[in-house]
Amino acid sequence: MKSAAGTAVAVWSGFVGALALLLAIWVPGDELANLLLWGAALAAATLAAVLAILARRAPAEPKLLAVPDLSLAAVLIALGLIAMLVAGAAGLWLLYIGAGLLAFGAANLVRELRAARRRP
Amino acid sequence: MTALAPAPVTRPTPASGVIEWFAGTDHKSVGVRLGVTAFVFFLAAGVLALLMRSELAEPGMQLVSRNTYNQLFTMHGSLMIYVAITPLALALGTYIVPLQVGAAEILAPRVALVGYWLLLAGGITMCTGFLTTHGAARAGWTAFDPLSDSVNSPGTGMDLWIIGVTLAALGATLVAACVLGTILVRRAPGMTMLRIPVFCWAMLVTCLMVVMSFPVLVVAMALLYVDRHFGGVFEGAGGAVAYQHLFWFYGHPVVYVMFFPFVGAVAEVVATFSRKRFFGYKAIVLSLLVFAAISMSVWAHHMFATGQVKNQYFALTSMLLVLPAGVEYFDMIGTMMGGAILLRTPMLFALGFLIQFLVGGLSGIFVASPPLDYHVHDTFVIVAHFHYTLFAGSVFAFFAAVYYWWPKMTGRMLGEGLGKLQFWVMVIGTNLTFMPMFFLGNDGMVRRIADYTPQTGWQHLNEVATLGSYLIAVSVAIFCVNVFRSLRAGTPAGGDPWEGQTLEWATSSPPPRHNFDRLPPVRSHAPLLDLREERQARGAGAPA
Repeated sequence: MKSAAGTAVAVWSGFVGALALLLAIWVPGDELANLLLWGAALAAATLAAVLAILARRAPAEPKLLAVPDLSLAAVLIALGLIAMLVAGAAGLWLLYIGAGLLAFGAANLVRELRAARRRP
Repeated sequence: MTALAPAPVTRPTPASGVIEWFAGTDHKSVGVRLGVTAFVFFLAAGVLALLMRSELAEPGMQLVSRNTYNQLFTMHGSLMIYVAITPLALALGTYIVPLQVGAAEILAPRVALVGYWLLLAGGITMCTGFLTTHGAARAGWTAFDPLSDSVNSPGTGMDLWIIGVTLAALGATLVAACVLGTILVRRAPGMTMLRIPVFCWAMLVTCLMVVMSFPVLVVAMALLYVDRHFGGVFEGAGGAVAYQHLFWFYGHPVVYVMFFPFVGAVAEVVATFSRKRFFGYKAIVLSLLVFAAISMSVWAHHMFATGQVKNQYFALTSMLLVLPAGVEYFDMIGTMMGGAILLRTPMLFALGFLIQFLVGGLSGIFVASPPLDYHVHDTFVIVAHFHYTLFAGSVFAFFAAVYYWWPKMTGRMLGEGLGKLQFWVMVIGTNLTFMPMFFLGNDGMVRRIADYTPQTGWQHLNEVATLGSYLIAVSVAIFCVNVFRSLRAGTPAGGDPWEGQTLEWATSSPPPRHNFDRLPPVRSHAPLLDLREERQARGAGAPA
């Protein structure tokens, strides 16, 4: 089932790769344009390869999934990232607050994941 | 025969209220919050557009200064692209995709939640530029360098815009990665890749494009920020072109990110309201893959006028787009042919999308030709072209999707009367607004100007366009009234009010926390239609 997912992404990366090849033949001198299109094709090919590997390792029966209803850790991580980026306009002080929030959020995430693993 | 959905483990007490709004990870809740947030930004961007149209209705400066006008068009485009239409598309995917593939939850729900907060913060950060001394960003939604550098765009507003765009792009990438992963690895038993609905295929290619192209925008924004504060990044003519390459490698695919999900939604609507299985399923799947691949390789057609790109390659790939687009139209028409078409509100909006997008698409073929592009470059022809694709196309399809899936999301129907009224007012408003722009642009009216002289003779067409924009505002107001009435006292929808064909209609409206207790067997991309046909064949005739 999942190998077909890899195939779909591989087909898409093949199409992008073909267009990148055409670009490389037609416009060899434009390094940035070639880099961008080849980059997309290779990134998609990598994703397809990862999916193929995952499909081989997948268990036959679907596993029970621990799904969180709430995640304050995710919100803290988001707020940390936001603060760190907005620091680019507001000043260095916000960068420190953002880093603190990010660290606190990451610690909470570890706690959430451990708690989820402990549940039957 | 039924298959058990993968049973998730969850906390015994479901979250609710403010904390749920703040930190809830249910894909339906994240999808609704993302959709509502994006719609609020859509309304804000619409208000900015009304101010611009009011200013342009007559020659002379009436309402705003030239500087403010520059901020208005910059923020209108930025809000619409970065935090309104793109997130609306992703919101639909976040809500609907797990239901359609029979998953209990989106892949990595915490990551989707982080994505939502980044998108929200991105929009707010951009808008806070209005509160700064120099005002909001005014270098256009593209922020071309050197127009956006520290000399030509001084002040914090431009920095806030860069940070806001970065946050929005990161947020969209995270949400898209979750939706993509859900399609690829969270499908229910029996739901093979060639059985996922057309909407899911459309979301798959959309999310692939987001994941491959949006990070390039983040890089472009980071470099622009460094260039503004430290210099030395985009220096000289080569630097300006390099910025454009980076920007348009995101900037063109994003047009399709704002298009494919709505094509998918329209495909679902057309099949359901034609009472037929979607015609040419495999052809549309292939066309979506080809379409998405080609649209990754056309970005430099925005740069024809720079003289720094190989126009032939990008003109060829741009014109190739017509082939997969033609397949999609062919399939939609094939689905309707011989069907028992029901002209309910979602179907009207879907038809509106199909007809009006054609104007945008066909005018796109004209501007894919470099000689014609030179003539109309930076004129109102371009404004008309992309508004026919994004507004007359995508926004109409968005409303088709909302009217179609609203009963699933809320358990209540939207009013048909108000829906049809909204449709017709919006059709008239849209065409009055954007059709005159083709003539204005061809006559030489360039975009991003706050004023024109009476001698140009452009006043009457501008008045018509302004009147049309007010009609669009009225149509959106009708929609808001419809939503309010539905939430207060809408007719209960039941699980499957439209006799849908895909899995989301096999559960209650709104769906329970983990979507399904049991799943019907999946033997095609229209499992509920299969069940219905099976029962009819057995003589029961009862709906699924």
